[in-house]
Amino acid sequence: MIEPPERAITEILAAIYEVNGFDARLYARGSVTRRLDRMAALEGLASLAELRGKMREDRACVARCAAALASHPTSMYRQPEFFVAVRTAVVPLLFTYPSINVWHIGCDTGLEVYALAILFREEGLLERCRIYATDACDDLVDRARSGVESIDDIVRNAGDHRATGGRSRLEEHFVPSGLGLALRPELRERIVFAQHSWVSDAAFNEFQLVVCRDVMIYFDRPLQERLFDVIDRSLCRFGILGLGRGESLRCHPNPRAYQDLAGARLFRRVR
Amino acid sequence: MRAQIVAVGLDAAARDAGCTVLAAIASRAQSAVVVVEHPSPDRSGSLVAELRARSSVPVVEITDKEPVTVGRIFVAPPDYHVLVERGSLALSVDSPVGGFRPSMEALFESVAIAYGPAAVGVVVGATYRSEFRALRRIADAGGVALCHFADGPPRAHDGIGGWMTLLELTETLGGDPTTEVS
Repeated sequence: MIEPPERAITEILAAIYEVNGFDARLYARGSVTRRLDRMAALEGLASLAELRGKMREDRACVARCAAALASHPTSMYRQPEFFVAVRTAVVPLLFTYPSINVWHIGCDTGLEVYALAILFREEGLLERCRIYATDACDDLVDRARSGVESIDDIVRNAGDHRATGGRSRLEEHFVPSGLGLALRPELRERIVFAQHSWVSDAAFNEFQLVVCRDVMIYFDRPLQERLFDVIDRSLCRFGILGLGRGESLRCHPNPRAYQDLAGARLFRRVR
Repeated sequence: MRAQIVAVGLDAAARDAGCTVLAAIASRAQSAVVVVEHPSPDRSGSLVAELRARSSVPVVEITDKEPVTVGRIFVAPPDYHVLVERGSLALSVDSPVGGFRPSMEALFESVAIAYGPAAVGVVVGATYRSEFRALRRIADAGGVALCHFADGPPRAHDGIGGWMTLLELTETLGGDPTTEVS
């Protein structure tokens, strides 16, 4: 019989919360287990119990585990059908507003936010947009804010960019910066990167579009419900919510407040 | 112990045989059936369509926190890992495992932890050592592990305990042993 690693995990999450202030106790256990298993292997340890032991003596190890649990893998054009639907169904709705606030929750290193800003620029919407891109993790927000990507990381997205209906050359939205590329200043200045934990911090603005893709999947149901509550307090009536392909309104306390907009996991708030 | 969940890893090259096996298992088993295919990026959802055409039970593309429901086939969405939790299916977009997302390894390891002896693991088609290792986690947890090669009859894999033939599997699942499977 495999002993479910419940006890070691519970202790590890408690230690991270105590030492680091990062609360993953309501994160989905399956993902947490896999990520901590991987951390144990990277630390050269045979088990989660050993990882727990190391964390008692090594605070840097606690920080590394917290960072491993906090990250959301991202790339520019994940699930291209989402960007196609934003272009065809969301942009026309956003055009009805004189100014547009967008909240990108869980921005990680920011690549997906760039893709959104580029799309808005191509559609002539960027001048009236402000994109608030937040993540609970300081380090990630700093990285996103610096905005420098390797040339390879940008160039390899050119095909996906075209596939989502991009009409410009992807490179023209970037300028050289050191050894890499940075988003052009006129795009960059439309994005506010900020550390924000929706778990503890209040809703901070009213938004016409909230993008929160593949963030909730890492949470258990009670935490998903809390995030939906924050989104509800932030999204204007008739505002639009974008989720990941594998996500739904299943854990929303009142899913009937939303209507499916264009497939591709876009929902319009109707009440 | 009676199986509550059957986790199936399908090699895309053996999809035809895999769909037959899946339809057979799903129609007989009093359990939920969860399937991931290697390699995946099946953006068109063609596996879901093919299973719908060939199976008598509902076929669902998984969304996060999908309740584990008896008598349904649950298919991983492209580019997501499926992690089985007790009573529900969670998703993750963590890095590919051994080059695959969704990953059989991630599926089998999570189902072994969540369901232990009430889990059945099945691999259909040619596979690699890492997948056998993951399948073995199910056997180690007291569950049933089975491998079915597309080019031959169901057979046990050397060195791994807890194997049985597909025929024995359907018996275990409460099915009709006189019905030919495969």
